Amino acid sequence: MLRWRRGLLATLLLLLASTLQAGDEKPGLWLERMAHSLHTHSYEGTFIFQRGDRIDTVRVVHAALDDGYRERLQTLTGSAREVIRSVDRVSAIKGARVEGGGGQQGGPQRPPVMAGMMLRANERYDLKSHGDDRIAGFPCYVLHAEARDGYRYSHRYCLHRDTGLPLSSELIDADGELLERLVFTELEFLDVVFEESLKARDCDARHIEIRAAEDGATDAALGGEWSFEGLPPGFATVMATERQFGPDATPSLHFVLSDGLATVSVYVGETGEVSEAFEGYTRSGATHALARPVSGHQVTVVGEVPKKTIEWIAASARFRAEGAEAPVR
Amino acid sequence: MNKQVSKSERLSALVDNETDTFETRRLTDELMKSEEDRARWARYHLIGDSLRGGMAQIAPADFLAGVQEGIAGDEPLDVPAASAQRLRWLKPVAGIGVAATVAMVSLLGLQMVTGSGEDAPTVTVEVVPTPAPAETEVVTTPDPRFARYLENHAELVAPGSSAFARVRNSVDGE
Repeated sequence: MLRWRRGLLATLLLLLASTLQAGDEKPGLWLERMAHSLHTHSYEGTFIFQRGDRIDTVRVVHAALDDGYRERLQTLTGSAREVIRSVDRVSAIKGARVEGGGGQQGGPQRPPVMAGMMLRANERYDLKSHGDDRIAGFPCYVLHAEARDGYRYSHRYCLHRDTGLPLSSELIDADGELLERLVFTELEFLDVVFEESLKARDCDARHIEIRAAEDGATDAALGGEWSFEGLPPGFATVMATERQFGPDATPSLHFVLSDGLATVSVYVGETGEVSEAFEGYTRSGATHALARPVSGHQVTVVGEVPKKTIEWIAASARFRAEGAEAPVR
Repeated sequence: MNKQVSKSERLSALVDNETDTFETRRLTDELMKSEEDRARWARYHLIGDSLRGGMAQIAPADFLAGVQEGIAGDEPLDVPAASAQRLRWLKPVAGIGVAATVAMVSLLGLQMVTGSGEDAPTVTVEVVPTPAPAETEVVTTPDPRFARYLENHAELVAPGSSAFARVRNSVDGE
């Protein structure tokens, strides 16, 4: 009996493996290919970025590295601006917390973030294939991730047939209105990226480095006093770090929440005086931001999600004072 | 290498003075013939501060007047060297001078609305908080403190390629 079961299991695994190989048209697998492609391919190209009625053209050089990636972004329209980004792969995984049961109190788990996020993305978005298209001269697979509720926007991608790299990416609201669009107009995959091409051309270039915290204890300390209770459906904390806005400033906690495709930042800083606290709401295209004081702290929520989602997340933030048993707002 | 260069790129290059004499002449000819191209060319000139903070703002019709008024009534800019935090959020607009700083802050402020403040959802400790009801948006005094958070969030999801990078950040945990 046991042998028969083992045989059945082996057959099922074989079937699953063959399905995965043959099922490259499955939207879920394409989403995974897309995520994978971003770390495995180096490229240079130009893309158009549209937000509302604004259109910008950006040149990008992207170098995939074993330990992360580096890229140079440069505006070709409007004011000249250049950004050099360097992202350490570990930094994202470090401190990541995967939603478990009803709370966010689980210790850091690394690196199951991807699998967990993929799963949630599938739950909250209806993934559909819409055939093929052609962008920047490359054939691509059209993938729609339609939001199943009003707490997130829908996404539409066209993924490079050979690599899964998104050649276009669109953000659409519940009324079907386009909020953001990124489309490559020209793209070249690179086998080798020369150091020179990743160097800033402009002395005013902005350098952004995202690195893992050196202190391993930080993870445990972060988020200990803060939690999110009853987040909007599908959202979970995926990252907690400390951000310092200026060398003399008190560090703020920075939580990153996600539902698999949408990203929301929650900043928590201490407010020394009442006058420092501020409250308000702002938006910029698809990005919404809400600030409010909570338990003597300034909580600011920013993300590419509808306003009501930002409000819900802000209302979910709880401060647990040291020694206190119950969380307080 | 052989690259297909789009009309947008060529017009962008023209706007940025990156075209050679021949290309400039050719594009000028095309601009003379096409109203659509002219509109696009004009738009590129207006785009200005595009990735500076990565924000798309819709300015009201009287925006320019508001900026001019802002400049006229402004105290001379005196940024104390010790105010690192302030410098931080001013940084993205530092290259284009005071007028643009005013424009940036004004735009942010003009878009800032409130209403959820005083009547913020009175959620206590409950399992599923009720989202705040829709409220009337009221324009309020600009608060530039939002700028640094929007900017920092944009850094996380990559300036200029937020849609692209958002995927990296969330799906791949990066």
